[in-house]
This record gives sequence, C-alpha cells and structure tokens, in this order.
Amino acid sequence: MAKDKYDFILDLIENKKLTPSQREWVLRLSVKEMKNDGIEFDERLRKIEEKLRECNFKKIEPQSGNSKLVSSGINTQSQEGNPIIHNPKKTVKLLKYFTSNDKNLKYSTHSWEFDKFSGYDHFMESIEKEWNEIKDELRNQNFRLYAKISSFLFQKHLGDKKDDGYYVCWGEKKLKFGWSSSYLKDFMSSGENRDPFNCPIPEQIRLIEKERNLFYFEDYVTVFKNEIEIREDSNALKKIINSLWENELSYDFQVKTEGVEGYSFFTDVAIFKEVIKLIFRNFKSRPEFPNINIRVEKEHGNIILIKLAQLESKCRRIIDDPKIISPDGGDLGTIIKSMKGLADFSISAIFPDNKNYRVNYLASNNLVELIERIEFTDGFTYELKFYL
Amino acid sequence: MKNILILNDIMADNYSPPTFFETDKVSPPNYDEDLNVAITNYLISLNNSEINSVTLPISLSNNFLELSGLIVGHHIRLTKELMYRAATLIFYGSLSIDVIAKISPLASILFTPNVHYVNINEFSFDKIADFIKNVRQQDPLNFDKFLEFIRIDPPANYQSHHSIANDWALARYFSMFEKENGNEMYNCLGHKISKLDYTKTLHFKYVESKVERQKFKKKNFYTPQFNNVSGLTIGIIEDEADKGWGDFYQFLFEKSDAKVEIFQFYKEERKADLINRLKKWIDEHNSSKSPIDIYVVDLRLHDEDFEEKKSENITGNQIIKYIKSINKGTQVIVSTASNKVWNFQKNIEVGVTSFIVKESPETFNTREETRLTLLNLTKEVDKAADKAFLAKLYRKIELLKKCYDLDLNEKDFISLVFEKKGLLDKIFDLLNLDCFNDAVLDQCLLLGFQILENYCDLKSIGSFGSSEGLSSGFVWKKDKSKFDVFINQQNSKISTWFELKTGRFDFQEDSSSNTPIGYSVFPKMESKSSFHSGLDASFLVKMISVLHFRENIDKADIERIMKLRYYRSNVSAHLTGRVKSDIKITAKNDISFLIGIFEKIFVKTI
Amino acid sequence: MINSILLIEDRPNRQRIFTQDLKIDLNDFPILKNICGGDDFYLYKEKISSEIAFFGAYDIIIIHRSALTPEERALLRDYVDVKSKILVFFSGGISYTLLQKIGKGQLLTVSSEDFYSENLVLFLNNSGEEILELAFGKFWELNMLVGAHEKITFYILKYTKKPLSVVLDDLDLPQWIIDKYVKMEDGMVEKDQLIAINKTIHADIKKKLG
Repeated sequence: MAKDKYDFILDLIENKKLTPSQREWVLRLSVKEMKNDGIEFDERLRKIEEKLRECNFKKIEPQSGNSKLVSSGINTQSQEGNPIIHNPKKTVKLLKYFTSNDKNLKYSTHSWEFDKFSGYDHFMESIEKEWNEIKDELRNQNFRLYAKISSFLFQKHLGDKKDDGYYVCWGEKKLKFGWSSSYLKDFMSSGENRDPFNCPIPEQIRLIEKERNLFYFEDYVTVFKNEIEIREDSNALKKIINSLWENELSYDFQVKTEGVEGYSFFTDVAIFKEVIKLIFRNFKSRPEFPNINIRVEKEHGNIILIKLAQLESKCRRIIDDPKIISPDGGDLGTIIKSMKGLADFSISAIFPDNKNYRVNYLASNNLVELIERIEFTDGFTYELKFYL
Repeated sequence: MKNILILNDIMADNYSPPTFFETDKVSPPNYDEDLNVAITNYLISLNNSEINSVTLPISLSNNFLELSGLIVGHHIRLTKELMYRAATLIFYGSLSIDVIAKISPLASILFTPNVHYVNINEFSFDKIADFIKNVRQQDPLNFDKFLEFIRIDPPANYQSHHSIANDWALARYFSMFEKENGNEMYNCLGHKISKLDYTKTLHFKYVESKVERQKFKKKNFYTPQFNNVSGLTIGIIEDEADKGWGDFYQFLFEKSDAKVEIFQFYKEERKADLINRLKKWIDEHNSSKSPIDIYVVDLRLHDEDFEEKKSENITGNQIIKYIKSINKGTQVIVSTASNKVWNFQKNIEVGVTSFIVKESPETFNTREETRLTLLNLTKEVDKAADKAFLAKLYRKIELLKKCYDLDLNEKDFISLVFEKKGLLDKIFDLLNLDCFNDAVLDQCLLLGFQILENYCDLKSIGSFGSSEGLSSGFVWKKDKSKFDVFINQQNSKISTWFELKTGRFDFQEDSSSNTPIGYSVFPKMESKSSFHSGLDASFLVKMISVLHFRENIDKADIERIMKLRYYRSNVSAHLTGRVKSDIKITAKNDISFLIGIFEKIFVKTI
Repeated sequence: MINSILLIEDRPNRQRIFTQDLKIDLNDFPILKNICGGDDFYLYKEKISSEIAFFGAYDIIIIHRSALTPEERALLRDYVDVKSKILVFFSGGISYTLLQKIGKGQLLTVSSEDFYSENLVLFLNNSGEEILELAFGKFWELNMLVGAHEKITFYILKYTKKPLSVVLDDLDLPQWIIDKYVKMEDGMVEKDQLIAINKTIHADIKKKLG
C-alpha cells in the first residue's frame, strides 16, 4: 500500500533528526490536517496521538465544527493565533553591559575607575567596539530601546534642529545631550583628568531644556539609567504607579500595591510606562470596579512578575473572540507590540463561560500555551513578566 | 544681567521656578574633592556672566546641617576673583530666621548688607522675583561691615596651628613676590600654591580679605634676594616641601645662585625610621664633594612631634643636634610655624642663630608687616650664609687634628695645638661663637700666631742661634737633611739665601715707620751685610725660613702672613696706633687663610 | 542592620590622644574592627588593590583619606558603589561634613576633628545603625527633622490632594518621623493637614535648639 500522508506524518515525527520545535510544528500541522479531513480514529492516528501524549498533549477531542486542542501546557496552534515567542532575557543580557564590571559600556553610566581610560577618545573607541558587538541583536529585540541607547551614546547632532523643526534628541524626555556631543568632547580635552560626568551642560542646550533642571552631564546619565532600568534606589516603580494613578486613573480608584518596592529590572522604561498607562486607561473605562491591586512577586529567583488587577471585573469577550486570542490592534495589540523583547505578557480573567483563563500573548519559551485554564483570578489582570 | 537661582536637591527633581530666574545647580564634589574646591570652581565658572543676584538655599542637599548653601554665599562674598562678589544674595528656606541663626555661626551672613532671607512658607518664588526687580543694591557693598559681622572658624585640623600657618605663609609670601611669569620655577611654585587645600577654604579667603583691606603699593612687592649664598649648597628639611615649600626655597635660593638639595619625606613613615633616614642623608651629603653648607630645618617633621612634650625629642631638634655633632660649623636656619618660644631656646643652645617664623593667619599681618617678615627672612639667610665658611673651616681643623705629620717627640706642641680643646679647637669655638666680633678675631689671630711661633721653635723643625749679636739659622728639611738658611760670617757678613725687604703696609698710619713687608730669595747663598740683611733670631726670620725653605709655602702667602703679623702686633696684641683704625681682619678671609696655611704645613701629603 | 564596621587609621598617635581625652577604648566595641597603625595597617591597605572582596565582611568602612593613594580611593569608592556599603573618609584636609550617595552606596567625608569626637562614640554606642550620627552627632535627628520640614514645605508648594499612601511615597520620610508626626488615617490628605504637620515639626525644631 502506498504511503499516505499519515504514514508520512508518523515517519516524520519519529525521525530523530527533527529538533523538538520542528517536531512540534509537524504535530500542529498534522492536527490541522486531521481536523480538515474530518477523520475517524484509526491505528495510525492512535500512534500520532501517542506521540502527542509523549509530548504532553491531551487526547484529541473533536468538538462540533471546531476541533480545537486543549492541552496542559505546551504550545498549540489555535485557529486564530499563538503566543509570540520572544527573548526578553536576551535584551536583559545586552542591557547588563551597562552594569557589568568587565564591560566598557558600564562606564557610560558609572564614574570611571582610576586610570581606566586614557581620555575621551579612548573611551568612545572602547564602547563603540562593544556596541558593535551587541547592537544588531538589540535592534532585533526592541528597536525603540536600541534607538534610544544608540542616540545617547553616538548621536553627534543631538540638539540640532531637523528640517521638520524638531530637535535631534533621545529618550522619553527628548533630551539633547549625550556622549557624542561635541561640547563634551571639547570639555574632556580642555584639561587634565577631566571627569565627563562633571561637564556642565552648554547654555544653548540648557535654554531649550530649561524645565528639565539638568545642569551637568551626570544628570543626563541619571535620566538615561532610569530609562533603561526600573531602579529600586529611586523607587521608580512606585513612582510610576503613583504618577499614573493620579494622572490617568484618578483618585476615584483605590490602588493597593504589594511588593512594589525593592526591585530593579532592565527594560525600556518609557515603553513600560506607556503600557501601564494603557492598562490604567482600560481600568478607568470600567469605573464600576474601582479597586485596583498591583502586586509584584519574584519567581524562580530571576523573574519579576507584575500583576495589575481590576478587582471583581470580568472579561466581557468570550475566550474564542479573535480580539482576545489574536488581537491585531487595539490596546492589547499595542501592548503586545510594545513589550516584545522586553517582557512576557498575559492577561487573566473570568470569562463569560465562568471559567478562569490566562491568555499568554508573549512568551519566552515554546512550552507556554496560548490559553490556559487557571483556578482563580480576582479580576481582570494584566501580567508582565520581566527577567533579571 | 542674570538672576541666578541655585536649586537644592529637593527642587531640582521636579520644580519649575519662574522664568525670571536662570536656574543652576552647584556641581557636587567628587569623592576626592573638597567641598570648598568644588564650590570655588563652580563660582568661577560663572564669572563670564553679568550677575545681578543669586538666590540660593540654606543647604544644597537634603542634609540640612551641611549648610552648604550658606557656605556658597560666603564664598561668593570672599572669593576675590569673582566679578559678582557684591551681587544681591537671597537665601531661601523653610525655617524661620531665628531658628537658622541658632543652628550655626555661618547664619550671620544673613544679617550682612545686601543679603536677604526668604521663608518660602510665606513667600513664593514669584514674590522673590518681584523683590529682586525692585531692590536697590547698596553700592558699593560695604565689605568692611560684612567682614565684621561674619565669623569663620579656622578649619578643624588635628595638627591645629601647624598646617594652616604653613599653607597661609606660603601663599602669603608668594603673593608678595614681584611677578615673574616667564620664570618656570615661579610658575611652578604658583601652581603648587594654587593647589593647597587651605587656600580654598573660607577661612583663608576670610583672612585674606581682612588683610587686603590695607592699602599697599605695588612697588613694595618684594622677592627676597640673598647676598652671600652664591656657590653654596642649601639643604631643605621640610615635611611640607611637596606642598610648595620645597619649590619656594628652590626658587629663592637658585635665583641667588645657590644649589638646593631637598630631603624627600614619605607618608606614614615611623619616626625612628625617618630620623635614621635623615641622618643617613646628612652623612651622605657631608662626605660628598659639595657638602651642604646651610640647612633649612622645620622643627615638627613628624606627626608625633605635635604631641611631644619634651622639646629635645622633637624631630627637628634631634636632627639639628645631629647636624651640629658632625660639623659644628654647618649653619642651620630653623623655619617653623611653631610659635612656642621655648623651642627656640633649645635651638640657640645647640648653636642655631637664624630663625624664620612662618606667618600665621591669626596674626592678621598687614602687607607691610609681611614684607618685613620677608626682609627678616633675607637677613637671617644672609647671616647664615656669612657664617657658612665655618663648616669648611671646621672640616679643615678636624682634618688637621686627625692627620698632622709631626715628630711624635714634640708631645707638648701636639698637645697644645691638636688635642681636644687645643689651640685649633679654641680658634674654632671662638669663631663659632661670634665670627664678626673684633675682639674674637683678634684673639683668634693671636692664637694662630701662637701656633706658628711654637712651631718655628720646635727643635725638629730648625734652629736659629744668636750669639754676640750675630745670628745663623737652619731648618730640617722633610728628608731630614739640614738646610742652612743663613750663616753668620766674619766681618759682619752673613751668607744667606734671602733678605728682608722693608717698607710700609697699606694699612699703616703715615706716622709709623718702615717695617719688613716682604723678602727676596737668592738663587744661591749670597754674602750680605749682617746689619742690612735684618736677619736675626726674630720670629719673622724664623717663620720665613721655616715656611719657605722647609714647608715650600708660596712667597705671596708668607708675605701675607707678615702683613697679618704686623696687624697682630700692632692691633691684636697691642694697640699701638700704627694701623689705620678702619682696617679689620675677617674670619672668612684671614683666619681661614691661616688655617689653610696650617693645613699645608701639618697635614700628611699622600 | 549593620553587622560590622572597619576603621583603618595610619596615625596611632591621633587615635590615642582622642581616646584618652574621651576616656574610651575603641577596642571595647564588638562591632568595630579597629586597625590602628602597625603592620596590620599595611596589610589592610594592600588588600584594597589586591583583594577588595576582603572587605565584604564590613558594612561600613572608615579610613583616613590621606593614607590612601588616589587609585586606592577610587577602588574603594567603586566597591562601595556596587556593594551598597558605606564609606567614610576622614582627614585634616576636609573642612565640611558631606554625606553623598554614590551609586548604591554612601560616602561620608568628615574632618578628623569631627570624626574623632563624641559623634563617633554616639555612633558606636548605637551599633552604627545611623550614619547621620557619625556626621552630625547628637544633632542627627535635628538634621532629619529639618530635612523633613524642607521637603514638606516644597511639597506643599505645588500640592494637590492625594491619598496618604502617595503622600508618604512622595515624601519618603524616615519611619520615626512618620510615626511621630503623620498621625492620620488612610484617605485623601488635605493641604492644610500637611501645613499643620509642618508647623508641629517646626515647633519641635525650635524646642530642640533651645
């Protein structure tokens, strides 16, 4: 008998040369095929099913018109979408260049150790070399973050006016001074043992950034540090929450926080703030649920999990709603796009079917399923998972 | 005109003041920098701008008791380089002024002319802006009144008086020098002084401001110039040499063509190790080709000296004693910030005669007084330089005492001249006491000739006979052969190798008679008239015979001795009136000359 | 909590004089490791360049600034920054007390006279828990009170009604000041309430100054 496609599928999934992710892809495709065929179970399918079970898949349960696979913890291909697999750990690893003792980039944000660099040119050469090693990866991880850092370090025209009337700048605060500003270079060559962090900001820049109260280069460096890391020493997370509570949510809402102090993690802080803003706006659109709980937990020693919950609120859309399972636009779509490369993102809620689900939009490993049944949730919750 | 608003840490985070102000922030000192230095540098960086007012907090940081804002205010008023010293100052804070006044004496600035305090509980920054627009500045600012009001304590320093006076004196003296911008050493010295911590402190600026109030003409600036140090080697033992005192002395002494050697101090060195190292350094220089002629020594050379109760244990005193023990003639100038007079007593006892006291800021000396201090410094150095020859003299005498070449049978002579407390020691001790005193010099001359006289009478040297009015004389040469210098002949004739020349020395009074002033030597013995030859058993004849024919001393030197002999006989021994009264001998020239002759006579030649 | 304090002094005489005047023995404080001159001083100094992790056992490192080279000072400074420690430099060349944040750590610079004073005794008697005691001695609480007063004053300048939790987060006051002066229930805080708190603090400051 000629081999049919199910033989082919079996051969393929039993082929040891396949990597786990390739095997998984084949399995997903095969489930789709089986559904389309409107099949009955036979021996070969039973074998395929066994293979699925080996990989922790549950039994295939055909449902009327909709043979969706519900699994207990691995990626499945749903009809509408699946978690986007990304690598925020990689981003963290790259950002750690700014704090690691063995990296020259550290000294773009920390005072120079005695005799570490022979001068400004030596320093810039050293960091450019290191930057070239990581910039492509960072660009792929998160372009905005990459652009911010690149401008802060290497943009020579900060403070210049562009044709459109806007200034060349970097970061959330649109700052116009950085490591490659010519004034800093001149300052460094104008005397012996000059400390770059003590460079006074030139008058023309101070004038256009007067409201920022930034007077020395170290002030700019501090802003930069706070734009790539949520820092515990400045209680940044708390401050962001409090500020957005006042400005976005209003004090008609009660915000209780747990464990928001004492954590530092790398991210693009501006993006993070925008995301929290969006979340708060969503909370605000449901004033009938005025109690907000924000909880921060450390998991497995290297994960910071931030949960923002609107207590007692439920999801109004069903779990199958395409805007839930594969949001293309809207706030969820925006959050997904923004946090890619920075943090895993999920929502959890009670859905109209009175079941609790977690929908994982961004995940760091392909073992995470798009939709999970969970036991309990105290309200519509946004979950952001940052890596240390 | 700018109106500066200096933000404190609280405001800098998130406060936007009225646009009337130009906001700024004082750069915090880095971990290695003093607050005063950071403040001074920041204020000078604003010097290019025209500043009408400065509004500043009582404290720049969250730690209120640092009172750093008040310190900035004082610096503005007291930093003489600032163009905006007289600007209106407005301090802002949250406390009532009576509370601030109780916290620190620095608050007294709040009560000085053209300074205001605003409690921001009561007044907004807009109101401050309005106030500044309307305030009439007192012009010119009454600095005297300001200085009267404020109180700046000297910086707390465990060494108390010492370090402050050292730094102050250095800066003060340098400010009195005539400018020599083309001189590398001058510039180097200026640079070092500009780095002194104390000159950045408020206390320095305060004292300087107070003394600056006196009028002083530029032409009275003064750089010490020393008269007698040319060719000498000066040793500097000063623990603050690195801070600028080494450069200070080097600049001054090298200007006057002296050579300078500076002892290097190490941090944290134990006192005993320091003393040993100093002694080694002194010994090395003492035995070198150009030994140190004058030492400038600070008394407190080690931290332990500040608590030392016995002055003889102070490092400087121990070193001075050591220097003098090796060579009593080496001159020592004590240079010190110490105002403890009893230390000086100890120094005088060991033979120190020159002192430089470093001016202290608490004395508030006028520029004229500082100038006098510098003149005194010049005088003290010149005094020491004048006596510097004593070191060389001492070395010669010690050499004589160790290396004389004489028949050991001449015990009496040896004992008289070479032994401890002998004539040579007596000569030195007298000169060391006072080498400018005429009576002392006369006595030295007498002692010198006593040596010569006794020497010429030694049997192992020669014999000069005289009988029946006739004389003859011979000397024993170094090879022990007998050499007849002159022999009496019959018929009043004398065979002789030389004859005396008579005449008058230039210092003789007109009324005095001729005297032997020199001699002529013949290529061979000649027959001369006894009477006219002048040869007898007198000292002069013996001396010429011995020195010329035995010791081979130069004729010029011998004739100089003859001259000195005349002086000795007509002034030192007896005032006969034959020598002009303004003629004096000097230790440096004449006595040293005699010692030099003794060196030629007595020291073994290798 | 402070577990251990290291003091490195290269001038034993200075310490001896101080301790004599105050009739104390620095070796009597179990929390303090007192390295005073001698070979030990050189050993510890050498560790700065060769094995800085050696200082990991100490939460506070106090050292005579002039005893170190610029490089050694830089190394200690960087170490303290990264390891969240407190570094204290004392020296005769320092004229004013200054407490600064350096990265995750703190640096206190103080004159020798102010260091070797009742401040040190007070500080050690309280197990080194409050660095401001070393900086300001018995006035350390006053320093904090005045700081709080200033903070609240500036806060009031542009204050809009906020919940108590946010106010406390914004002001970041020491707990003992909150416990003593901020006696209010959770809820929205009016401006007048802040003004009243500040007045009470001001009155206490005045009382402390006598």
